Amino acid sequence: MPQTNGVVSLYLKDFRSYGELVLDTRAQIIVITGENGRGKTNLLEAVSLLSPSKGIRKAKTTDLPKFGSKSWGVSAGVLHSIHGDLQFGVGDLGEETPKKIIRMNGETLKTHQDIGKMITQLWLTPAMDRFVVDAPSGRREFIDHIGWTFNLEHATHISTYEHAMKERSKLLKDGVRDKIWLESLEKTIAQMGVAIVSWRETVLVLLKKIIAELLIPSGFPRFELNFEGDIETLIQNKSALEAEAFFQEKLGLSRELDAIKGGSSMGPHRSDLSFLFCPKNTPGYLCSTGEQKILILGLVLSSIKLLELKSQGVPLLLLDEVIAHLDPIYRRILFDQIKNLKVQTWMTGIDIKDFQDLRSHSIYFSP
Amino acid sequence: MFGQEIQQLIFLLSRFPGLGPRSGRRLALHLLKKKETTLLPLIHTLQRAAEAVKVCSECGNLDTSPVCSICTSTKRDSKVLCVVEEISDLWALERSGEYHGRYFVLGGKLSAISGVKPEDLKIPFLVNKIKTSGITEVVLALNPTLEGQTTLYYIRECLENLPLKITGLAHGVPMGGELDYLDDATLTTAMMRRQVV
Repeated sequence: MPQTNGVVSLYLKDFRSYGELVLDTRAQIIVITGENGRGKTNLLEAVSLLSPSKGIRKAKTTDLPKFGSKSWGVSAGVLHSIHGDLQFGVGDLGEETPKKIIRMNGETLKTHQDIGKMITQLWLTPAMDRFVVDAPSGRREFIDHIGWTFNLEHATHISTYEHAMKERSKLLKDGVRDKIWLESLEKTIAQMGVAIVSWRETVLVLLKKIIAELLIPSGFPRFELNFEGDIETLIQNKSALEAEAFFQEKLGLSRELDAIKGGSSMGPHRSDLSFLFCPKNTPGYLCSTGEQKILILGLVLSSIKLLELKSQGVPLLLLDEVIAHLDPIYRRILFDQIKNLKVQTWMTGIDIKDFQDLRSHSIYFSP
Repeated sequence: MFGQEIQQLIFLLSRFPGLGPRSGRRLALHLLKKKETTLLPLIHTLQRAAEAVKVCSECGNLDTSPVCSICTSTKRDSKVLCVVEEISDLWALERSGEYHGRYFVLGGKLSAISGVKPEDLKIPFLVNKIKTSGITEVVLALNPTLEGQTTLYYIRECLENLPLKITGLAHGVPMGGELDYLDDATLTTAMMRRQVV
């Protein structure tokens, strides 16, 4: 089996349903199968905690120890294309104040963000089944997550934008109409807003290239992605500086309306990522459940490939119960894509027979 | 476990900036164990500081006289004024020994969410002081945060039509710093504003 960058060993101690577990995971695809309640998703969650986030369940550290234990730990050997063999540890020592600690080669990382530079993860869970039709914020956050993984400035722009927007809203709500103060905040909002939208567009162009050059030629159904919003329209016709000036002027003119409605009716926080399922020329929100699953899989697969190409971290793809809504044809297409991606992928499912087509690239585990 | 006096001492110490319950306990124990050499001299010093230290009426610095030694010094350049957010920033710049002008301490930064308004920062007083004191350069040494930069822009706008040079601090690689340990935003700014050497 070819050696793939990724997790090569996993050790769990008092984590969720596991007292102690040692796994050899030297494979491109790790398939975890078993009946409900056997701890399949717990394993994916353990891997997902090798990141700055709270993992696939967004759980608190106090929810993670096995019943009866205060501490928990997840340790992983990782093969990295540049740094070679690395050892990561994530856990809580069970002290007075619960605290997640992340270590790399035995040293505690100063910030949790540092692990994100070494391991970049994407996951798809049943909780994301309605991704295409749910509130636009989830779709924006997904693209933003991709965006800042290889451009940290994007994260700074978003936090500054949100902070400035909150400051402006508070001034307007409190009836403060200090022209200079508001102008200062609106200038920042406009600069950050245009920068955010421009970077999202850059990410989308890169994703479209991967979809066109990698996914579609190997049989994935054709689909389109587009960002829609006022600022997106603006930057198509104007330079960045002109767009900033126009956006700032609009903010200045809409102060009274924004004071009543709260927030702002214009800006990257109003943008939305739309899908088009080309075989039926149908917008994503009108597609069947299976077609929506294919759309989001297309987005996730192209995104992990983009991260593999652009970031220096080891890419990991976690797919929890993804084949549930897929017919045999779509399953085969998905499996072909996963094999072609050459990114370590962790998958869960009920029946091992469903994953037989992956056997040349996989190791199987049943908790 | 402790008497009320010790509990109160630990509580007060643990509320100091940078301290918590554990360091509060450690500090209290240290003070109580070294009563003669540490605790009593500290009480005496605190008492004297409370009575003697005043806020400078000109710049907002702390000193034992109503107008601080920086504002009264004839060796300092009275035509250059450096605006900082906090007294700790003033002390930091003084440690560098590089700046020889005078200061103005805002006492914070504009923040709608925290309810800090221009009047709270004495900005109208600052503008009036600049207009009437023959100042030729204002250095806005404010932090590169959203609130810091909003405050900078606000003051700059208030001073817009005055015959002044308005400057800000440079951003970039710190002395002794290693590039590998710098955050991406600092590195990007440093690269964008690179200089001929």
